[in-house]
Amino acid sequence: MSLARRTGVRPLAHQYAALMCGLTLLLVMLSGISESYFGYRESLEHIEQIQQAQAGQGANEIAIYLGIIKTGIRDVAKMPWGRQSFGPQQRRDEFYRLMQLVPAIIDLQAIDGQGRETLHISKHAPDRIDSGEPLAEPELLFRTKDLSAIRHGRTFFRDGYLPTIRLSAFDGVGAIVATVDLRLLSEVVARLNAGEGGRAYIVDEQGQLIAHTRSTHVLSRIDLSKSEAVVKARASAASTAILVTGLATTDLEHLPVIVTAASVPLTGWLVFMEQPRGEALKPAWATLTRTLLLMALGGAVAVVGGIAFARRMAAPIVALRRATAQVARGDLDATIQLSRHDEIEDLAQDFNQMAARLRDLYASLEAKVEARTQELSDARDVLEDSAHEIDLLNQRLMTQLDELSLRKDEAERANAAKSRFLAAASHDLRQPMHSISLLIGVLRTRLADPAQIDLADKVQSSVTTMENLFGNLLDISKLDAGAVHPHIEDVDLGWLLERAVETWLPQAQEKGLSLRLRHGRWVVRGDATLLERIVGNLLANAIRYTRSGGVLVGCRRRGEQCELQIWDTGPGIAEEHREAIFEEFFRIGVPGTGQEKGLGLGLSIVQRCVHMLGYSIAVQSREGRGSVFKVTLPLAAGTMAPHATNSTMDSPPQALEGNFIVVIDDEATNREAVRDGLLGAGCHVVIASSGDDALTQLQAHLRTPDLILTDFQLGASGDGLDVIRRLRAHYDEEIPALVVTANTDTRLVAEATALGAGLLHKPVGLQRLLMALKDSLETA
Amino acid sequence: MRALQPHLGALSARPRIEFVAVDARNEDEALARVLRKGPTVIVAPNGSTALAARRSAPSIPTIFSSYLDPVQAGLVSSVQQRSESATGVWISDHLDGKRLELLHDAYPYVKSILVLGDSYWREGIQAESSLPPVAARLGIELVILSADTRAEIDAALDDPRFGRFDAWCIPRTSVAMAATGDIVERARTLKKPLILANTADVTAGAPMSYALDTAFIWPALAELVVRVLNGESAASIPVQRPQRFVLAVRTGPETGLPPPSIEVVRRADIVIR
Repeated sequence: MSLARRTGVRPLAHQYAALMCGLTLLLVMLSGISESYFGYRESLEHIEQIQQAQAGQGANEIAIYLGIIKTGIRDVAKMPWGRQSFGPQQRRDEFYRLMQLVPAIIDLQAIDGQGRETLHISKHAPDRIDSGEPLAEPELLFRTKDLSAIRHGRTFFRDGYLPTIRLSAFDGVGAIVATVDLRLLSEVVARLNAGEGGRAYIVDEQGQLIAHTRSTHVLSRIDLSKSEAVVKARASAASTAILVTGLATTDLEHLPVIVTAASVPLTGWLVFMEQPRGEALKPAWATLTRTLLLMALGGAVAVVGGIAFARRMAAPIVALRRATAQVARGDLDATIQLSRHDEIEDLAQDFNQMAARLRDLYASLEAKVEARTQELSDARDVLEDSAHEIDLLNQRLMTQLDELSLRKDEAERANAAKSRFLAAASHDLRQPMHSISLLIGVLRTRLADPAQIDLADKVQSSVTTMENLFGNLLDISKLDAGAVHPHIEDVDLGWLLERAVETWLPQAQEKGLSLRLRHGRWVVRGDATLLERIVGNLLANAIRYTRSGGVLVGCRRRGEQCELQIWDTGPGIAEEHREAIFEEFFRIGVPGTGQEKGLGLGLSIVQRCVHMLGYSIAVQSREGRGSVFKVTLPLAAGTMAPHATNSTMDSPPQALEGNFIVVIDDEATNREAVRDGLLGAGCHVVIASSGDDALTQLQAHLRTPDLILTDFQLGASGDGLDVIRRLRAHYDEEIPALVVTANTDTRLVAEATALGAGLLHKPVGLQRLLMALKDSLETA
Repeated sequence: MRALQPHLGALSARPRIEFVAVDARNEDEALARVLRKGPTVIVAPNGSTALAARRSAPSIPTIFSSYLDPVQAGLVSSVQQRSESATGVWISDHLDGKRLELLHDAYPYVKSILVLGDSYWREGIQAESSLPPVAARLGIELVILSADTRAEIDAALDDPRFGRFDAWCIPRTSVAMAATGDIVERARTLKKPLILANTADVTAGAPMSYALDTAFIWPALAELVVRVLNGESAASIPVQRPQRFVLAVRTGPETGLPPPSIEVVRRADIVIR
């Protein structure tokens, strides 16, 4: 683990300082903003109040100024002009007096009832008397006799740019009309208090500027009717004196100003008080400046205080972190000394205790590690010794394995040699045994003396025994050699059992035993040949060892399986022999008649076949009562057409009578013995040594053979299967055929089956041969 | 300078002011000297100087005061807003008819009046057509004389016909500028009523004057100078005109005359007893 400090770490003191300074600055800033905002609002309100007062005062002063003018006019108008002592000269003098009192009046006219001028007094032009000139503004004439009323004319610009207005008063006959120079109004306006840099101005009913602090503006004849201030003032309620308050707008020079407007009483005029925004907001700016200074000062204090406080806050944590780092580097002597009387001090004490505990644990751990290391070292020495011994043992074992391998190879070679010997012996012995069997069969058919027949039967029995002995030897050799390959198919077990019972019935009868079959329709999955061997060996074994009573064959259904049972009433099998009976060449040493002779291979063959087909076999026995062998086989999924059974089987001779059979065998003895046997059975027979010989022989017969019986090995002329094909091809007919061979190769069975021919392994007795021929003819 | 004092605070910098005397004899040389100084503003206190300045330096703003009609004289094209960079005060004195009337009101016995002006004035106000109707309404004899030089003025004053008129009226012309003292003295000697067009003349001893109030001129010129120096265009500022009239009378025996009528004294703005 790296103890290097990570990059990008923000020190705790900095975080605390940033947090505290930020919070303080935020508060200061919020306070400053609120102070500035409210200061600004207060300034605006203050300005509005001042301007309201100024505008109200200005409107009053203008009204007073106009009132003086109107009062003077009204005073002149009230005189009874035309009466004694109120003649034209007195009126002229009075007019001059008025103009002298009111400098803004530059002309005074006396107008008769018809609106004609009777007197015109002026400051700039010679007087006119009875000029009869019409009044310039007829609306200034009075239709009613109202001595108190003053009428206002429209503002006009004398000489094109001097603002002027006419006022009139009823004088009892006509009117007194005063022409007023409004430029003097600007002097009044200029005296109004509009604040620092402020200005005041007046607009008339039409929005025309008629007075301004800066008098030259009036001479410019400025129309303000569309200005924002005038529009808003005109739009406000006429009942209030102050029409607009604190309006932020621009002045005639387009500079920002704050404006307040008031109406001039008894006129349609408006007086405006405006002040430059900068001047008006000086208090607000001053407040803002003070606030900013205070904020800066407060911020600086907050930063300094925050940093100091943050350092003080973070110091114990930093110390703790340094101590922790020391511990992380392996320095367990690190301690923290704090005197704060708070949780931090508790934390430091906890840390010190933890460090002390770690030191103790470390010391204890080191001792344990040292002890464990020593133990491991000792164990390693022991292991090394053991390993050395194991190496020696391995070497020995390897040597023994090599020896075993050599011996195994030798054994396999010996076993192979044994198998080859047995196969060869079996094949070579089968031929003479076959011949003997046939010849005895023929001989028996020719004997008439019972004693001779009995003797022939005994010879036949001995030959049969020898056949079985050879058959078993051959089978066990093939099974051990792995030469047997099962051909799994649906097998009609009932038919197969019937055939087996038929086959073994003579031996049973010969021993005075009953052999019964409990018939049933059983179709199982398996190899017919191997299954026939299983049944045959079990039956042979049962008959061989049963002296009285009998043998019963039957089947029972066990769910999806079938259990083949073969019962006998033999001596039974002792408990200690029930496994050994399946070993090769094992025989139970019981006294017998000699008919129990055998090699002790039957049950070994049964067990091998059962295992090869995936079946199971069990044996139950009671000594002195008998035994039962049970083989469990799987039932086929569907049904199988049952083989035709012939419960009343004809004896072979009668069944074959009249059939035309061609016999091919390269052994003359065999073919002649077969010929004699077949002739004895009433058959027509042609014998030949080869296929060519058969075809030659058959040329003499117009009849197509009913059956072909051929040896498989025909020497140099080919094999029996070729002969069958040639004869069938010759006659263009599927002639039933039966092949007899001493070759026990299972492939031969498959080839014969594919050709539709039966196959018998030598030695085959005459009776068995005749039965096979009969079956072939019936099957065809 | 006094008029400028109140306005100096409105200027970003204190202005440098130089006075140059300009008259008909040194007009070109004096204006050339003015232009060499590169002035920001030229202040011309009379119409002829303003015209010369405008001709010499039309691009330099000119602030003027003038008895001449600035439009007729060619100073500006309009008294309101214009293109020329010039503005100022126009003392539009058209009060001679009123002066005849006041003279007659003050001294009702006057039956003949001599008016002495210069030819520029005579043409300017069309004196031959404007004044006789006033005299006719007042029932007095009116003679209008003009003198354009000092010699002509002296000759007029020495003319025996001068004493034949009951009263004299002296408009605001070059005659008045040049010989007011002599005229006042001659009137006192001859015990002739006299009305002038300058209030200051009454203060100086003349019996009577009726004039526009010119007291505002210098403050107005000072304000205009400051406005132009602050960046305002002179062309946008209308030409101002006096808005008050001043009737001044002297009622004491030093005039050699009986006091004016009570009606006129009552009307007077200034009465010197």
